[in-house]
Amino acid sequence: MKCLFALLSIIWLNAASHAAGPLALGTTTTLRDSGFLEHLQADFYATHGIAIRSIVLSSGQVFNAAKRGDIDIALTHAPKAEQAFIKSGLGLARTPVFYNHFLLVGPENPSLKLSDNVSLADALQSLHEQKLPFISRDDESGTQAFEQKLLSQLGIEPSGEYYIKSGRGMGPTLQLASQLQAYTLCDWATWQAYRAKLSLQPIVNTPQAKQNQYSLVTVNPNTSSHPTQASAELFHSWLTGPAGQAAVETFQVNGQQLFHAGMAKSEN
Amino acid sequence: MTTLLPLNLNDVSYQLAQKKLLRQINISFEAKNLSVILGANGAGKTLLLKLCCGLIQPSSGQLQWAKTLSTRRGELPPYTLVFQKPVLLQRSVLANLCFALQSLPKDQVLPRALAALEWAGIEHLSSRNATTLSTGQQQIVAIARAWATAPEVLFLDEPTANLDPDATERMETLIANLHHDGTKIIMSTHNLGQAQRLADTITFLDHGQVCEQQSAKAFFTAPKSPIAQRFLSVQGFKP
Amino acid sequence: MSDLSQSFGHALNLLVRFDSNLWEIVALSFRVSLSAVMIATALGLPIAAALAIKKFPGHGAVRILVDTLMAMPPVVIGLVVYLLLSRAGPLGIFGLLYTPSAMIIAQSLLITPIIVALGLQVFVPLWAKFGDQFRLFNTTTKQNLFTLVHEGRHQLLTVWLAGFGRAIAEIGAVMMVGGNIDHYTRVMTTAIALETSKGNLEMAMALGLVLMLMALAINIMAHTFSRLQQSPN
Repeated sequence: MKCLFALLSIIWLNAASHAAGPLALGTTTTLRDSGFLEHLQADFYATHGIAIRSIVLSSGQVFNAAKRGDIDIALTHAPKAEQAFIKSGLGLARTPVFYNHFLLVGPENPSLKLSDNVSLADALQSLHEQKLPFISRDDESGTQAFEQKLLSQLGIEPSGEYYIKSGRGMGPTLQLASQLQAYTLCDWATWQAYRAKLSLQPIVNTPQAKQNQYSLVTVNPNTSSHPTQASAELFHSWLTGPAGQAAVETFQVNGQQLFHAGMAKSEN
Repeated sequence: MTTLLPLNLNDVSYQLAQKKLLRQINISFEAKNLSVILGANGAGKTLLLKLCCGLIQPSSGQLQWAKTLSTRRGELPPYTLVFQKPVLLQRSVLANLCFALQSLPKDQVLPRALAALEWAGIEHLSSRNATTLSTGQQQIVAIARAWATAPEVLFLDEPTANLDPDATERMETLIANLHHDGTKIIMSTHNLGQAQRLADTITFLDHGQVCEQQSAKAFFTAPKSPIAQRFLSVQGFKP
Repeated sequence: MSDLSQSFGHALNLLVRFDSNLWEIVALSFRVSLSAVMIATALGLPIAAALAIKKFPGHGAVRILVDTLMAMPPVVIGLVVYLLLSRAGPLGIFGLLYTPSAMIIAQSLLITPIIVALGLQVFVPLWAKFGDQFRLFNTTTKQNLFTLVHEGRHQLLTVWLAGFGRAIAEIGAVMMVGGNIDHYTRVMTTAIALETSKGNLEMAMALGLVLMLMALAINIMAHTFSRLQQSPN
């Protein structure tokens, strides 16, 4: 009996107390790897004294966790998955909070010949026609969703040895592309964080395209098995409010601003 | 206080994996005399002793003590066995003795243990780690431990088989002391000299069967069974 | 090669400077694995002793279960615990997923079969040696169990160390149920995986060095304890 008590106390002493406030935030590797997440966490903690526990998964995995009720709030960049989550009734609302863009990166001596000001879609089309080595995320991430969107718009279903699926986060995917001297799609923030360690260069870099929208998705307290979190509401109002948006705008890596506050363009 | 003895074995046999290792054992052990179970190696002496101690159960037949034994744990047992190879804990000799006396009231344990050391003449070994002693010394600790629990019957399985002559002599003295103080001794040996020195009665065992059981004097003058006679003559024994 | 030695140098620097990030991770690893192995020992040793002493009904089934669980990859155990502790799962109400408690639970499940199997290897020979003598002493089962543990104390310490070593070096289970959350559930192994994937080799190597030193220390201790064991004649 004493043993059982000891067991339970060891577990209990280590248990998180959800009610008191730390926020279980489901978010993506792209935000972590750039250091942006730490920046947000520090700012939020300084203002409200609430710690954020970031559970970093691909966007798709975040919604799986949300469906299971294991996170308080989601910060992702996969519009279709986000909207599906709301539609299912498990999510409450989706608020776009900041954005940047995607770029195509490739080998130091690229064989892909492109004209100036070519769009990402056109570049991708040429790449697939020439069957140049390309690394795809294949992990239900926001980046993966973006690639899928482009491919279906172009009507391309890639197959063949040139199309490699890494199944991993953006950082490892970039490293793989660097090792194999292949092409891949990447978000602006992760690119800035990793570029120094890679033997890759930007091939198509169009910030004005603003394709990469990050949104905050709240969990529906009525349908979710997850208990309501006051900290989730606090985080939501902070990030969408002036303080949070300022934190977004002031974040820089190597003198480069990585994210822009607000919504890029209306979704279609 | 009723006594455990006599111990009767009625048509006892013991079988393991289709082999009958002991059969048709019909013997009894009476109070007061020092019983020796004599036989060659492999005759079944150890098995017989283990049966008597309840460490193994007979395959058929009955083993009967004169009074029913309590099945309660945590009490000092009425009989015990000293093995051929001493089984001691990795602690001091004193601690080993105290361990066997756990069931006694706390204030009686230490005095009894010290008395056992004195009885066996091993006070100087009290704080030594028991497993580092010589085999002879360990065996003396084992018999001191047995004495401490004040059993009515003490079984010993070839207690001096692994000992040098000095240690053997000391052990035999202690066994004789126990016997004189009233403890019933039932011991096994294959050593004729030892049997002669100590035994009041001989139970002669050969290939799992009791060939004869009679007083030691009679056995050594005129053994009844041919096997016993051959056993004695082969060992160069002349009555 | 010079890149490797440069990273190694930076790693040593992090260690010696007591970089707070690094040591926070090491401290959590210790806390999780130490707790897990304590629980595993409290559960596993009695089971091992019972298996060694008594042939109870279902004895064979327990043995098979223990051996099967021992062969289970940590990531599978992690998955099972994840499914149990998730809010969508049967124990979801406790909200334990993505906490150090979940990691302790998962590692306890991982290590207990190991403690049982290794503990058996200690208890079975001990019981073979002492079993008959204990029955002659007419001591209670509780007294016998305590004595067995005391007799095998040096070997059991080695078993304990083996369990701890296994716990602190695994990644599959703690990654799954802990989530590798910064400053909360990040332990040495998950941190190494993360830092390597980010290309931060200095941090990864520093952690790797700590793990290796720990493995070395454990082995030295285990070796010393088994030498301390008196060999009975």
